[in-house]
Amino acid sequence: MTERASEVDLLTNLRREVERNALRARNGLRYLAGGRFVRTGATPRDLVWHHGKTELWRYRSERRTRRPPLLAYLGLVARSYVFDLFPGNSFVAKLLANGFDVFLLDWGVPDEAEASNTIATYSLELLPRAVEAALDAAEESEITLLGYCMGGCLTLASMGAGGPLPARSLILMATPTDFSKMGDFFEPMRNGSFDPETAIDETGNVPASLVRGSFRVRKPTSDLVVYANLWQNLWNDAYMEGFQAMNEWVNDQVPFPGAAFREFVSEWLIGNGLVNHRLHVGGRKVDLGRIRVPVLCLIAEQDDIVPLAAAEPLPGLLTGADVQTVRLPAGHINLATGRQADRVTIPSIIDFLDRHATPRAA
Amino acid sequence: MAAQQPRWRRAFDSMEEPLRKRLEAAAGSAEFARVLLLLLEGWTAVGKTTRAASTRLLHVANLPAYADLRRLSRQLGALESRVEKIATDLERLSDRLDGSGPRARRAK
Repeated sequence: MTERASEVDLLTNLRREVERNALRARNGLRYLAGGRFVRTGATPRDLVWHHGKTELWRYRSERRTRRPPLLAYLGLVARSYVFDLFPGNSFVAKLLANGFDVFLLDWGVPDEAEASNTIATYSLELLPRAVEAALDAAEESEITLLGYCMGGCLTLASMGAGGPLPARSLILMATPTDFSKMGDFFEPMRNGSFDPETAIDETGNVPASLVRGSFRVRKPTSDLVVYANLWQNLWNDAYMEGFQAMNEWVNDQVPFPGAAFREFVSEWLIGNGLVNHRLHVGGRKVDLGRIRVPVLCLIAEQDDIVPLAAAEPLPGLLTGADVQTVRLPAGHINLATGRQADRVTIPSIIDFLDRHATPRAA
Repeated sequence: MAAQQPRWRRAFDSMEEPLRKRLEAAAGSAEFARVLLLLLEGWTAVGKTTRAASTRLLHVANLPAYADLRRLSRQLGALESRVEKIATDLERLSDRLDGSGPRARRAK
């Protein structure tokens, strides 16, 4: 009886492996040929405002039952479609499904025209203008701002410098504040032995390849693991969708505008201005005590880009605000994507927004 | 979970994990960053020297070099952002004057 059972197991396993290898061959060829398994940023949306390369999108929804609207944005070196990665794994789609009116701000891909853009260009000019345009489109007077990673820094810079942002509340995800805790890798930048001009190319910006390289070099075996995972799951169409979307996003950085980079190195990294209360943006002093709206700080405990120690001090710096801190056992990216986002991040955000939102009049 | 992994994967993981820990510790160190920055400086210097030499050669032949095109492109870029800034200022000014802009409407 046992012998018969083991024979059946063997045959079942063999058949499964043959089937999987056939699927591996099919998906492998499709992948190598550049075939698409999934479309990133697929949630329907409309362009409501643009200025230069900066674009403001509003996601279509039949049921905008909650207010105020929510405006999400990243920092300057990553692509905004991480918020709407692919159908079934879209941060935006989940917020829409919960009745929120969602806007997305995309800073665009900078070239020579943006080389002289400073942090103030983004935090004191473009962000307030995008907020105005969003409020106009939504016919509202207040908004919730959701800044992810360096996007959170732009929010802090803007509101701390007294930027005209009619924010009802703020959501700051994986936002670095204490740059002295960013890890030893940044030490040569912090101690001034690195000349930022070295990293700036003839377009006046830090090239995307260098931005990408600075992330990849700190994870030397990540490509090996990615390909091992890929081989193991190549037969699985659902895995391939997630893999392609995520792999594309992870390798899709944009150039860092040169002037903003110089400022970032001197004021944020070397000066550690947020923690030392010495940060100036566009000539205005950044005082985080000016922020008096409710704030949700989402901190990723296993963040390999913004270490926990660099993100942790933020709630303590927001002395004038009602701050709720949620620490998640997540990494930098899966704070907004995947199961971790579904289980913890999005429910935390919805809970926070519910406490500071009002139902929309019919 | 690990027991469900195929044998090749378990072997891969058992090799990758200690290697990753060592390499990440090295890659996250200030020394490694210093070496990288030295390489970057070297690369930038080589690039600048090569470009300067090719620019000189092309200029001798009375031809525009890549550097000239980039310079033009930067100047155009600066002009573009200046025009955009003026457009923004104008928009704000007209908003303030006729009170028809979003901020004015919300204030009403």
